[in-house]
Amino acid sequence: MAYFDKLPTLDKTGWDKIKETQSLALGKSAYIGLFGKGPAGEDLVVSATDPSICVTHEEPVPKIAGWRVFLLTSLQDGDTIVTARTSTGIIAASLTVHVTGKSGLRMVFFPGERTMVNAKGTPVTVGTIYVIGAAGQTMKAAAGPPGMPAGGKPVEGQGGHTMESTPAGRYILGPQEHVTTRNWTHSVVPWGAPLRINSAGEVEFQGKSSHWTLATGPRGEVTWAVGLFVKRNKKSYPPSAIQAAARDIFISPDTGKLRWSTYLANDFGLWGWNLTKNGQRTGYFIHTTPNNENDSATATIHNLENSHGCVHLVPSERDRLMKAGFLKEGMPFEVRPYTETGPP
Amino acid sequence: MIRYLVLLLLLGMASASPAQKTCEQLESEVVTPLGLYIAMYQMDPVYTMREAGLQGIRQCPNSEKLWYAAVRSVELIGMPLGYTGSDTLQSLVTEAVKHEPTSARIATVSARVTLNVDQARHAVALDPKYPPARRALAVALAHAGQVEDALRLCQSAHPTKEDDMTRARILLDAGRASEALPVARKAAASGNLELKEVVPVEIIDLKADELLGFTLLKAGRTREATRVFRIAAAQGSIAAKQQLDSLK
Repeated sequence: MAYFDKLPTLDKTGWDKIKETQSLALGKSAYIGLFGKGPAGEDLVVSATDPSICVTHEEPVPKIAGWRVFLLTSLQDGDTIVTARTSTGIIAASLTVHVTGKSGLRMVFFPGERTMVNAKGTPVTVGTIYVIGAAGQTMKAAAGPPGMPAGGKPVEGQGGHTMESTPAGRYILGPQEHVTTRNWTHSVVPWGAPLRINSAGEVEFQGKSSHWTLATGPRGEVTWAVGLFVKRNKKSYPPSAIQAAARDIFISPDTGKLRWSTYLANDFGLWGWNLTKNGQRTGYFIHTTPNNENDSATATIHNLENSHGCVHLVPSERDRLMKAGFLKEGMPFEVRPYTETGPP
Repeated sequence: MIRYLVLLLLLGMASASPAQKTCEQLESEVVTPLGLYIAMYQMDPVYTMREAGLQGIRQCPNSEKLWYAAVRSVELIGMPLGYTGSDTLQSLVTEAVKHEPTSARIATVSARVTLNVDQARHAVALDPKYPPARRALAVALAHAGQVEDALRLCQSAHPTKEDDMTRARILLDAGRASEALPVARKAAASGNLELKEVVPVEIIDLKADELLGFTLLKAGRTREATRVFRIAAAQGSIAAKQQLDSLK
């Protein structure tokens, strides 16, 4: 026997126990408890029949024995049935979710939905970004790894960088940009920047203006970033090795020619959006990765990898949501805790 | 007419297949230790290096760089998923040593894989200034029961993260967990990477965390070990995940 109901600790707003219906204003969410298991004592599988109306995520197990708690997140107007099924598909419990009203567009990201093994055989925790107030659009994404200590785990010997779980919270998307930073050697030059080799044999790039900037050589911007990276880690390399490492980013050793005529190796991919908080930029971006940008055939959910703390997207899904007008400056973007898992 | 169309189709298919890379092109895909170290995504170049190496050793069997790329990348990340050939790390290493008998870095990988003391001594002899060879010899000696000799080889006035990890591993395997623990802690917190071999920072960091977790466990500090294993498992450590499952 199994049934949905409100635990004493849960808000009962919108819950009709007789009709087994949870009413939700669009953009709002509610918690519901599930008591019981399948006939063989197995956990029941909980999901919405129409996940474009409302999506379910399981919360950490409550202290009251026999109960599980689910978060119901409304995505658009309409009704859907949420079922708890056995492994053979028999419905053991159900409730109706009734979503009404209007809401401004916003996005909510559940980063800890599931762990899968990606195409390279690496375990990856992936989640989904849901658009609220539209037609139930979604986009797969991989954030930082779950379970990292607050403030991140230092990646020892990597220039003071950390590996961190993307912090839960409410953000606003910053402007769409070609992300650049001198903190990562491959991200000094913007994605797509024209490249050329000058008369001295050094690489130059055209950044935001039409001005050509030196990338390699003793006074190159990328050489400077490589030197800084190495220095931060108290490593000592001769200038020739630093310069060679910078050159290797752009020039293929077998031909001595540029690897690309426009730069295609920025760590943040083609476009990024900063997750701003309280009007300030944070260290977190939504972006793609260069290997996925450069290989559309393999750039699928199966090739996502957990980040250092940013939110990684698949390029085709980014393009779809950009075209639909959701990925844009000013869009509210909520990151939920990793402990909210599922739906199946 | 139909035969003519089929011929045209086949010709079209042939011209559509990607051009085979030259040996120089394949070699240019092999990342250097410093090149890898400065990259944000350090696993991708290792996958690229494996692809270049495994293709290159058949096409360009005289390239030490490609033999090293093959054996080192497979040592780090294993054979590709779905690989159906008969090569294993062991067979690749044996072949690589035959092709490149004077390569200290290939001899070092071989010594680590086989744990053979003679092979490790040979690696050191090929390049006495190559620290990974010295550590491979230390591990092989410890495996053969010569723990004190092994520990002496790991001693250094300014030990690198790799030195500390090797020393901690030898002490742990010798059943000296209490001595291993401070060294394992130091290794896990150390950013003093040697950068003589191709190794992604995230792999060496993960290995250091796994080592610390197992050392804590042996030293009876289960709660702290669990915390370390949790972090390692979150970063993709299968050994840590299995350990957590067994601790439940």
